[in-house]
Amino acid sequence: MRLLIVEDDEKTANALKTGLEKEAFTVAVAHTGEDGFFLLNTEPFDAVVLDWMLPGRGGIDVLKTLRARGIKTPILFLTARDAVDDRVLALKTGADDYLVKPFAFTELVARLHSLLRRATAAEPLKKAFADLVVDLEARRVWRADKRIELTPREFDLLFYLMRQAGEVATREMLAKEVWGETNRVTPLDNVIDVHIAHLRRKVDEGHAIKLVHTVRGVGFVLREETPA
Amino acid sequence: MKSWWQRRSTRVRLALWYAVAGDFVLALCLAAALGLGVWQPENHHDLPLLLTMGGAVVTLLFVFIGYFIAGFVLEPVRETIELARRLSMRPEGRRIRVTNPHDEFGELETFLNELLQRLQGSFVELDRLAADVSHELRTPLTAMRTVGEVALRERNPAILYDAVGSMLEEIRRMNQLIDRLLLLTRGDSDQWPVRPKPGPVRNVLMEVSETLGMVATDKQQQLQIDCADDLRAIFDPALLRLALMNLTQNAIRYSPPGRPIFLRASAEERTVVVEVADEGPGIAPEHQQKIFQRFYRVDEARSRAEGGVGLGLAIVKWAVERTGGTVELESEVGRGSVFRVRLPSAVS
Repeated sequence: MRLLIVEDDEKTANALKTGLEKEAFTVAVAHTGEDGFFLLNTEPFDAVVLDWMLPGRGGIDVLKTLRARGIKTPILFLTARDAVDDRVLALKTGADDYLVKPFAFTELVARLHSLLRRATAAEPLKKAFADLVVDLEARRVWRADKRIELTPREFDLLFYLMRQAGEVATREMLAKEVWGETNRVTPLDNVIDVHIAHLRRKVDEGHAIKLVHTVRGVGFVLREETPA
Repeated sequence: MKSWWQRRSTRVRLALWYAVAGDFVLALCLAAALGLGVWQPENHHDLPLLLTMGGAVVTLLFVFIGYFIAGFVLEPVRETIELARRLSMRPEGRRIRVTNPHDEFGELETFLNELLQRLQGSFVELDRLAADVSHELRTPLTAMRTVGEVALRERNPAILYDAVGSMLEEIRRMNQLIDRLLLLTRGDSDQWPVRPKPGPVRNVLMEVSETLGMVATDKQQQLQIDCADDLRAIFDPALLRLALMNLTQNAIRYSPPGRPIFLRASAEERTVVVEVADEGPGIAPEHQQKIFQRFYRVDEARSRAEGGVGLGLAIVKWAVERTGGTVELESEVGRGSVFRVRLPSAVS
């Protein structure tokens, strides 16, 4: 997967590059809109992470020109402003998704994967991770062939974690995707914590290998781990 | 540099009006003198010349006098402006003296004083905000710095990992603080379009209880809803929900395990009263007035330990007032607290 990051802040750009390379992306970085535009015209990319505020040629301008030339590469917009107008403008101009700064790195990765996935086949209705099986249609869950009873919210939570197993889901992502919370000021942290605790008890209790894990300061992740 | 005319246009205009009035009086006098026969000029031939010259002399004279009188009258205005300009830099308590509040100058001076008052209010508010925010940001920054500096001496990856996690937690807190602060200061933003419309109150209570039910259950608390199915009020659902979420979470957080929390709503004349009541420790009277202020905490250490940023109730007040309601607190130490939200009733 070839990825282009257009971001003027060097520290951010480098951190993103290092992080995304660890996620098995091939990453090119441009620090100005001009450079980014040049690279996009000369090399093929699978997706672009484009900053809104760039010196000289702004992100929105680059985006406009690209779409006008019929280049359809998926573009994820980074914006420091969280005004609705800007987001609408970005999406109207042809951005595929946006993230408001400061964002969680793990959310960026999740969004990029979903951008790249969008073009490919629809999601399967049954998913398995380790000895955990989730049936989306019947909304049922089994671990080691034993049925687990979950509340609807717990099911949604588990399914979301499962969809990006191995990747950390932040509290913000869960609030948005599982609880459908559109604003960032509604306090849901303890709600999420309580549901995770319940889910953990139901999924992991009595099993040597734990699946639901907390990544301190970031969020939660589904992965196989034997407690030390 | 502005021209002489621009700086004195009001004075000159007044002087010209003065002259016009003077000429008019002169013409009247002459007409009267001629008409009554008091004045009988021998030579009617010289009359136009005489009148023109007389008129010119009178005009000049009156412009001259008028110019000085206007200057005299307008002088206080100039002084007032000068004073207002100086006071606007530091308006602390100093005001323009109003000589007569009923005439035009008095009104102007009163208005300027009101303006100064509001300016002073903004200055005070700005100072307070800057002080509050620096304090609030310094706390997590201090924590992060200490954690980072201590971690640098470490070689044990587990401890390093933990240190990074702890710093990320603080960063998250700062982000939350900024999000909420932006909401409060940029209150008119399009982030929250306000659309108050008539709707059933019970739905919102149910939604809040559904979201927070498990948090309460974990504390052996019960959320009890008491609201008629058909009780309708005028409100913006998102804003009311935001307010009630905050109030209910506080109730869960601060009341002891086993005690019920009530979400009640009932109709009073012209208003619908929504209450979030707990049987917790209550809030002492000296805190009750200030509790809706931003960053005001009854117990700072505890609030921080619970992950609060000190803006919950300020947001409640903001949200309720934006949707056209009011919020008040009734509390007694040892008995519990009732947060009462009043919304306009949907039945007219």
